[in-house]
Amino acid sequence: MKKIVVSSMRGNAGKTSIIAGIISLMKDKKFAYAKPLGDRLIYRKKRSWDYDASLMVNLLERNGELERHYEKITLGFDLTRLKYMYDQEGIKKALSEIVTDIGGDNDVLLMESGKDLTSGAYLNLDPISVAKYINGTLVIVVSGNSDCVLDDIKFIEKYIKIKGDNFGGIIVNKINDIEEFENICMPNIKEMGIDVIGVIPYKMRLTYFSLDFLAEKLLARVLAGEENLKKVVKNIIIGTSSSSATDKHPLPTKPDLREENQLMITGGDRSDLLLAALERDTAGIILTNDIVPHQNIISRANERGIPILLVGMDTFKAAKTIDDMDVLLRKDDKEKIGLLSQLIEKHTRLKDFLK
Amino acid sequence: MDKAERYDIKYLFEPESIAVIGTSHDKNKVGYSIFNNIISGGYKGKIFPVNPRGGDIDGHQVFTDILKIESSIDCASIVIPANQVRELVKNCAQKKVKFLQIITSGFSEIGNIREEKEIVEIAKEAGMRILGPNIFGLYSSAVSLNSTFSATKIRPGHVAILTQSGALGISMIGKTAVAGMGLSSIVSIGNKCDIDEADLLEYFIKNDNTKVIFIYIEGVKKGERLIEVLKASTAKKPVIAIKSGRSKRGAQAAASHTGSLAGSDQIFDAVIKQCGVLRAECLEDAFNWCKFMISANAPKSYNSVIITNGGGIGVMATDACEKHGVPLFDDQTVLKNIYDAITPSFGSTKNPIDLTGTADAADYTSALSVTAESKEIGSTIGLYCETATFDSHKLAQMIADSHTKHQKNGKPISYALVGGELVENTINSLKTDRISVFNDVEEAVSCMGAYYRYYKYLAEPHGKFDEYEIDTESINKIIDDALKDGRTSLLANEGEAVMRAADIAIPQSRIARSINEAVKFAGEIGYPVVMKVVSKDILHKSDVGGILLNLDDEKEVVIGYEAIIHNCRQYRPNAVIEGIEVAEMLKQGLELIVGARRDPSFGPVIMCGLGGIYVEVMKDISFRALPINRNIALSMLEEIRSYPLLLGVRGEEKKDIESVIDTIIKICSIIKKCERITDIEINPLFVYNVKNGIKALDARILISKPKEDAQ
Repeated sequence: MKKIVVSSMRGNAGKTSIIAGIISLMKDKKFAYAKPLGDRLIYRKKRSWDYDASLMVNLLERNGELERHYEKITLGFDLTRLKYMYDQEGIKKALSEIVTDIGGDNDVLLMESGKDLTSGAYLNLDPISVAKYINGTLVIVVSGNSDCVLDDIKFIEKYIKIKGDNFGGIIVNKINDIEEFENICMPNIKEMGIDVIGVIPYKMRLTYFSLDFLAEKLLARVLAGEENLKKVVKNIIIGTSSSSATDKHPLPTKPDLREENQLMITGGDRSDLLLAALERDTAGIILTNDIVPHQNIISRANERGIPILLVGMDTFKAAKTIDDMDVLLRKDDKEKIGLLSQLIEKHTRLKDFLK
Repeated sequence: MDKAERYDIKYLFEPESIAVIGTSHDKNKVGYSIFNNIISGGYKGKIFPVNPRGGDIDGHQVFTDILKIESSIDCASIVIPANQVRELVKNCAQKKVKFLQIITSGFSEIGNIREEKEIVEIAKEAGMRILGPNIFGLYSSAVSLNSTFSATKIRPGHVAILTQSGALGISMIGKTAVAGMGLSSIVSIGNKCDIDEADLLEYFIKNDNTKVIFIYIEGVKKGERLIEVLKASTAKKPVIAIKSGRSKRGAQAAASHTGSLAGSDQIFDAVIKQCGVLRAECLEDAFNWCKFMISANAPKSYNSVIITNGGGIGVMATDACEKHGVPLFDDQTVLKNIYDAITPSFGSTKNPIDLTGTADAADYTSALSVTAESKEIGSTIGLYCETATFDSHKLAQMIADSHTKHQKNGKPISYALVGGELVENTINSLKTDRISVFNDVEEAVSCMGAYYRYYKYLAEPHGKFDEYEIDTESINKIIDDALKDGRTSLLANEGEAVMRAADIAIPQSRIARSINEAVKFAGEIGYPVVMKVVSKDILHKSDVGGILLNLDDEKEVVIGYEAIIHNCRQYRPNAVIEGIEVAEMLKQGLELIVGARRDPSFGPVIMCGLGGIYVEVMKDISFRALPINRNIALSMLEEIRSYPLLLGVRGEEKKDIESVIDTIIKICSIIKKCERITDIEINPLFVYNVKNGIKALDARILISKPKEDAQ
């Protein structure tokens, strides 16, 4: 069984998406998954699950086989709990149990690290230590602009010194211009002697999110259009100027009400903007400051099937929260997962790597 | 007189001398009407008209200045323009006038608060008291004084009327005459800048002419004192009240009308009921009750018999008795013994006693006579439907005779007569007497209901109040710390500490600052436990995953601790988390709410009712003003619609009502002894079966700075 530890230099680099793409792409292989140090906690039925781990368990569809080992898939999230439950020996034992109980007779055990390369270091749950304990192969995902990627790879080469059996290489993710990267950056990376397993391009479609995801994240109350919460948001517009002003001056810097699948963020008292949004291709509306609009607007939204989400925060805070939000993959994001597996197949050597 | 002393209110109602300042030579002016009413009303004391023009009016010498009157003056009625009142009050003070009736308007009711305050200060300095301003004057039968500016002839009698509305008061004088009801006094209090309802009630309590007091009130200013005086009043004589401003719109109108804020009607209603005051919905009821109460003695037994000649009207009366709380006599054997001989075989001796449509005046006289003489029966409701067999000309005599017989036997009786012109004429002719006769069953029974309510109140023990020892020192320290922190509400753990200081059972809990502590505390408290974040930065704890319930073992506590911290950090990364509260997981009990607050009008009031998250929707609550005792606390519970739940329904056991009463008294003790607590509320209060006690799940406490600090 191959044991791959997937980590990243920084958070939100795309580890989970790449793993989801791999699982979706290589249906002929039997995969197992674990994430010993969780970082996206969800608490359900008195259990704490890592969001990514929960997603993978669903994607692997093993009829409860993996769920049975939920306590082993993720050992904990915070140092306080991990320290309470494990000493050094305990951690080693828990990791080896992951290999035997979860890995079992699968072809590949994919073990996702915490948020980044340093997470969990205090308890030897960082990816480098984990790879050593389980005798696995470390793959590091790097992403960002070219400078950032080069810096990260150089850092790996200069200080981490994990070349050898335990280091499988890097995957460069979310690159805007592949051609430019290949021409300008790749020669430098080759000079460093770091193996690049793949360079995956940035795809806007992967950043779209659905309204039910948004409602959950913002603790929003759904006032209308509940049946269409699966709608995907592609553009965001903040309702400040009057609707007539935005129509008259559709400059690139101004919000354009005519963009498709847009999410309007405004106050419930801005009836003019709300009515304009309800007559266009609006995916949904977020009403801020807990201001409930006139009943006619709610009725119109229901007629048009446009979800309205009510939140307590102000418009700035709502917009900032959405901007800062990690767009997490969901088990029913079939289109996104399909795209990920295509990207992995086309832009990486992971098929060969996992042979 | 020392300014700290106050003149006896008797001088207002029974002055030996009165000056009318602003007596007018013009017969169309208020200044003349008041002077003329005093003269024509038969006032026997000295009267001094005052007007700078001097001369004489109707043969009386007019003084140009009050200071030129040599005799002492008990009371002065002031009818001059508002801008001259202040100077005039100074002169009255110099003259050592005891009481002022300021008829003049144009003060706080139109926003002229400053001048009104100045006048009060001048009067206070001299020990002088002020009625008004903005009043129509007063009538007092004790000295035949009619210093009002409208009614010329007021019939003396036994009802004292105290009204905040001048116009309504004037019209009530006429209405009492039509109702055949005499007055012992009528007085309007206007803006009540000094003398208020409580002062006037003190006179009515002592005044022997007054047998019933009727108050029309719009807003209450000094509620705590009013409660005391109302209790003292109802201990001596019935008090009937109408308070307007029941609706929100009505409350606004009342506020703008008198410059006084109308208090919360629900609290007012509860408080006056607690004082034994009978609240009427309308003037008609109030007048009917007043008239009925004048001649009614205390009941000898708490039951009533309905005598009727019609089945339908009898059933209507039975329904009305249930509605108005009139207890009906139901010993069938006794009823048969009394009425069998005088009831036709096809009639009924069951209460209502149906004499049938064949009954004539003699039959009625017999039936009402045996009722009046029966030792078992307490009161009578006589019903009559016009029939061919009863000569309606004889109706008035029959009623007068049966009424006299009841009076002789010390029993109340009310009548409802239904019929045509003859019957209506009979009703009108009887209105001049003290007989309560109506053309509708509802009115006849409503009088009887008010009568029983009043005497039932009198029969209850009053005066002993219950209180618990509480650790005020600890509570004050908690409040000090919260105020230092700039807060006006206590945190959950502080609320729990207040509960402990008052010995109110709460779920066991400890604040854990690490997983080790959480596990240790959970073990000590016993599983299952509840865990909740303690942070002033996180208000809606459950929304953000800051509360976890029903954790069964160590593993769940460890996972829960981590989850709460994680969730809260996710929601607000910079929140100061003081720890995680580990508390006993309670089994479900009946959810009540017990709370207390400082009402701006009536001071501390206590509330209890059905609790939980729907408390504001259900509104199944009752209020009382402090102090209270255990009986009153029980009556609060009995008043709520959900009381049967406490008694146990659908096979459930009875709940621990005694522990709920303990909690109500303890909350009263907290709000009474800790003056900086403005609001305290336990919701939900879990109530378990008898002898299993209660548990206060959540205590919300609001505090305020002491007045001197707040300024």
